[in-house]
Amino acid sequence: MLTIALSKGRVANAFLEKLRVRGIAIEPGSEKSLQFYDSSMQLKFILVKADDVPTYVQSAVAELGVVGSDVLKEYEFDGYELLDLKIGSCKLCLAGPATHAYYEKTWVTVASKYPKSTELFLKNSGKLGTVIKLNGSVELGPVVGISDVIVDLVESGRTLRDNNLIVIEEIEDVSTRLISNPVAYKTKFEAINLLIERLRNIEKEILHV
Amino acid sequence: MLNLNANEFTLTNHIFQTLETIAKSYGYEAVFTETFGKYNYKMDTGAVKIMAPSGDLLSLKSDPTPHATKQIAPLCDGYLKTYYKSSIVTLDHKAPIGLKESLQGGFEYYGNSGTESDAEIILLNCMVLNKLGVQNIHLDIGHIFFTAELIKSLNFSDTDLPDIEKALRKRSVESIKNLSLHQRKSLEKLLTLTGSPIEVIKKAKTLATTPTLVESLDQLESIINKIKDLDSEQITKHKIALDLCLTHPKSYYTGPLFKIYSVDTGKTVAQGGRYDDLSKQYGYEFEACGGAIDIKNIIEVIKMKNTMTTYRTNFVLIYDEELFNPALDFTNWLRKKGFSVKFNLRPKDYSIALQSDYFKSVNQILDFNDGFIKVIDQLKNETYRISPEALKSRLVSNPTSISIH
Repeated sequence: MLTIALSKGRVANAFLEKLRVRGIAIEPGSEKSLQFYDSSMQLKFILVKADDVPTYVQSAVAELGVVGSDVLKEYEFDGYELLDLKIGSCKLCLAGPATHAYYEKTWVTVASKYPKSTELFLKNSGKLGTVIKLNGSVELGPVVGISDVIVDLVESGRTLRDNNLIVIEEIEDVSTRLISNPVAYKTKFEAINLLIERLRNIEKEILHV
Repeated sequence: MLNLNANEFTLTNHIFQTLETIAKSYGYEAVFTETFGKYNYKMDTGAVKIMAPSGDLLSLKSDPTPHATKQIAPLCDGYLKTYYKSSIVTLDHKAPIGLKESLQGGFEYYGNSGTESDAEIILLNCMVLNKLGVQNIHLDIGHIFFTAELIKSLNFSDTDLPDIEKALRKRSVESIKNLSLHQRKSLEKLLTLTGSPIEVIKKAKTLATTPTLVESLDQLESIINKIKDLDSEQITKHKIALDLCLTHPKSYYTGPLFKIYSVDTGKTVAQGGRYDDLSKQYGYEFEACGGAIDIKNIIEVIKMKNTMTTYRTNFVLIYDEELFNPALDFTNWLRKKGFSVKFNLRPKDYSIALQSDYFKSVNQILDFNDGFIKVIDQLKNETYRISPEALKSRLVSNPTSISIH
């Protein structure tokens, strides 16, 4: 049996739907419980907070995990990223008010849920600044004056527009990854690869349509 | 920085003693590795740098292998087998003050290029783990040349290399999606080359298009056969796998590599490999291979498997002033029988004191009273009264009910 730690909510739902498409039977509504199985009892799912998925996988409680690449970068996940599941694809962006002269400033204050990625971005772009960690409603940062700009995930850009912010720079693509602990990957290699093949085939079929 | 509690410290000593016993039984000699060395920009990545009063730039030991090699180099006129116990300090931005201190113990085998020396080093690490009860392991063996040579043979451009490095480290096929079809197919084969040695070698031979690749595979095959020959207790049986993507963060490795994981915790518990060129850094030339166990990760496995009680103090005996003499007599009797005993006057706030680590870290609390002992068995979570004589006979008749060091 393989244990898969899923990031609760939209990511878990989309992943389970992918499995259902590939004929893996999971009772509808199972995901209301924090722990459930597929009908053949070959897969066990545990629903956890996104930030905790790497911990479950790294400590070998779960052989596999399904979580965003943004979380993996912040966690500095040291295991395997086996597959891009193409769920929740978006971009990590630097955004701010249209009037903010970001490139002219020598020092900026950046609010973000992703302090490590933000610090790395500032360092790589040779910019000096302070990073303020916020846990939500990051777009409010420049509006209320807590920061000059923000670094956040942008999908459609609507939230930014609602708060009169624009994308200044796209930092990187973000999407959901299937991750594994190296030992689990090696000791349950066949079962894991079988699952990967089934998931890969979905992508191929979609491309052929 | 090295945040060990009393139990963990006892356990650390036990781990080192186990390593030392096994090392000595194989004729390995102890080597002391110096705390500071002259800073070497190639060898000391991740080391703390210190400016000496003389103006020399020194590095604090971050990896015992170069230090040990430097130290024994003038003495190495043939085969030389050594072991070490060491504390190391590395830069670590995740640690609270940006530095991490850890403990490491390992074996080094100098002056032998034969695969029997690689096999012996791997087996010694497995033996230490086995003796410590870390038996649910997975042993990966790989070769630094195989990966490097295969990459070279596929003619990648320099700009592709970071993606390839990421693909190997993360087993991520997505990282190499921009490569040519031929390059991608070959790398995908490499990424999935893991599993039973016979199967992997068979598949890998289809990729081995240069003499170096063939030689690397032959070397790995030979090491695996020699481990089987040497492993009379069969502690590695069904636990060895080949992983041809195996890499090592230290750049001085030049040949076969190994990594041993605990299946219970998913963490690396030992690793090492061959580093034939390291001695050249110090003006000498001799082959070498070695491997080290990771004390912190081993402690984690032992804690998880709940076998830590073996390394705990057996008793703490609490007495009141007027019962000092009979309580001491009883304590001395226990100690003579081989039990470890803490002997203490009843603390003023006895019930609060019982919650402290000092009391919680023993297996049983013996509350010595006039004519009876109240035993609080913290392992079985039970309390009972018993006369000193009855307790003595119980311990004599069944000493294993309480672990003796």
